[in-house]
Amino acid sequence: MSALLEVRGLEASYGELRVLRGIDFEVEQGGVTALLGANGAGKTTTLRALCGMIRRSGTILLGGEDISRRSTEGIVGMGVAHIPEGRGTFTALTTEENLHLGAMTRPNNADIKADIERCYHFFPRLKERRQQQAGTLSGGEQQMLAIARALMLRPKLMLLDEPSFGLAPMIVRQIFDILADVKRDSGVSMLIVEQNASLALELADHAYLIETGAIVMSGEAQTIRDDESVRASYLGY
Amino acid sequence: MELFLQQVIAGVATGGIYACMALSVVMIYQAIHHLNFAQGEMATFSTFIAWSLLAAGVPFLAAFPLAILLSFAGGFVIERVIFKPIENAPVLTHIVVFIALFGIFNSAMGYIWDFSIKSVPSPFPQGPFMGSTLISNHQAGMVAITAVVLVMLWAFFSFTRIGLAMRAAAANPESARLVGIRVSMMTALGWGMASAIGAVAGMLIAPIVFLEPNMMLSILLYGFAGAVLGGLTSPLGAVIGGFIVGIVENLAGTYIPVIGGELKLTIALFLIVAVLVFKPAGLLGRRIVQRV
Repeated sequence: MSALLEVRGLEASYGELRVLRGIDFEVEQGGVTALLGANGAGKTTTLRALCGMIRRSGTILLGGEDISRRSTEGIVGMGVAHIPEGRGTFTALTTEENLHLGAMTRPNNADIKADIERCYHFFPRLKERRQQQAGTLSGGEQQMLAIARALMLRPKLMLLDEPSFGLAPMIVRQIFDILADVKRDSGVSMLIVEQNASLALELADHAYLIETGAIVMSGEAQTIRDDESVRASYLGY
Repeated sequence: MELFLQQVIAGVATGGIYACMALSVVMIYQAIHHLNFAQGEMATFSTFIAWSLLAAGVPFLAAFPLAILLSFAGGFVIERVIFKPIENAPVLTHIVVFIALFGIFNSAMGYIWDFSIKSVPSPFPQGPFMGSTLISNHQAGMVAITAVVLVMLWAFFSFTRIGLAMRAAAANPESARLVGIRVSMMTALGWGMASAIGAVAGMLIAPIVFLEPNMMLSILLYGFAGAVLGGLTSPLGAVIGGFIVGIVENLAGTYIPVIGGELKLTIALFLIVAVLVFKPAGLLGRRIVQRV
């Protein structure tokens, strides 16, 4: 059992407001870790802090290397694909151009074309829309595109920020099935932030519960799911 | 009819220059969302460099590419040194810096090369184009070079990875960073390219209007008019806008007696106002509509 990502004492603030108050967590090699919590708990901030989109302090070890001082571009170059809140689609560009952009840090060669074909195999809907302006895709299609774009990096670690956001329940189901396939087939590690706790816990191996910028509970996904207090507050049954 | 054709063709020729200036303006606008008022002075500076090289005996075929390369480097450095530090500053800061840059370039040119007008030889042979009475060799050359520049840019942005990266960085900087694009490097590249295009425009227009530090003042206004008319968010629009401005300017100067030669510049300003009032996004510009 080795950790791909090891975070120790991560802190981040927006101006005077301290949002993360020294949190510790890990993502295992090939595993899926879920970060659960209510609105404003600091989940999105955690992801943004990890890849240097906001000022942060603390230790962030990726494969043993400290990335807490690296630029966003540098961290992406090390194989971290972040699917941001709102999916980060390049709306004015075509679907295929979006996919090419996902592989921007990789050397330019035939592999990229092959990977795009693989993405189309995975997401036939995207193939139908390959020359279409990405902004005209539906929300679910854009989420698929975001996942495909992230896969184009051939990432070691994927950071997913609310993949269910704004989607119809049926589409959410589809997206999570796809993520389960990705987990099984590619062995990529994932850190997933989600308000839909029950779905996230189905996919995840481990989970952390975050409240007002601090980790309040952690453990196996199964254990967390069976916990009475979590069930009452986050799972709603 | 002959007069009409002649004016249209002359309009296309000068329109090419305006298109280049409009394109420079749009390239920087896309990257930093501000209009560079110093674009014209930068282009004139490039032209002076070309003139100096020619005066030193460097042949056309070496002097022009060299001036373009130097302009590219100059634009790149200006972004790194001056605009990178103020990238998050408010609009007014940018405007003040642009005006300062305008003044600095203008005075520097006067200081180095003085304010007397200089004639710049055309790289093309004198005389009419293939015996035509409508268009001179230089005008035909202007159109051809503009066309080559435009096709090269189009190919660069459509078919190269770095062109795609530049488009992505301009459209959505945060997402661009998340796919590993060095956005600030793309901005600097945009500045370099804008300066290089400006240099082309300056060197093409100089043989017609004579070279002096204020050479580009009115031409930049036409360029702005072209950019606004075509749409500040659309490079293709800017090019089309530039050509339209060139043609309209010439026809109005010829056929509307009140305007004549003296009030031609007013047309550019009139176009800017009219477009901003009636169709602010321009002909091909996109109104930003976001799905939420």
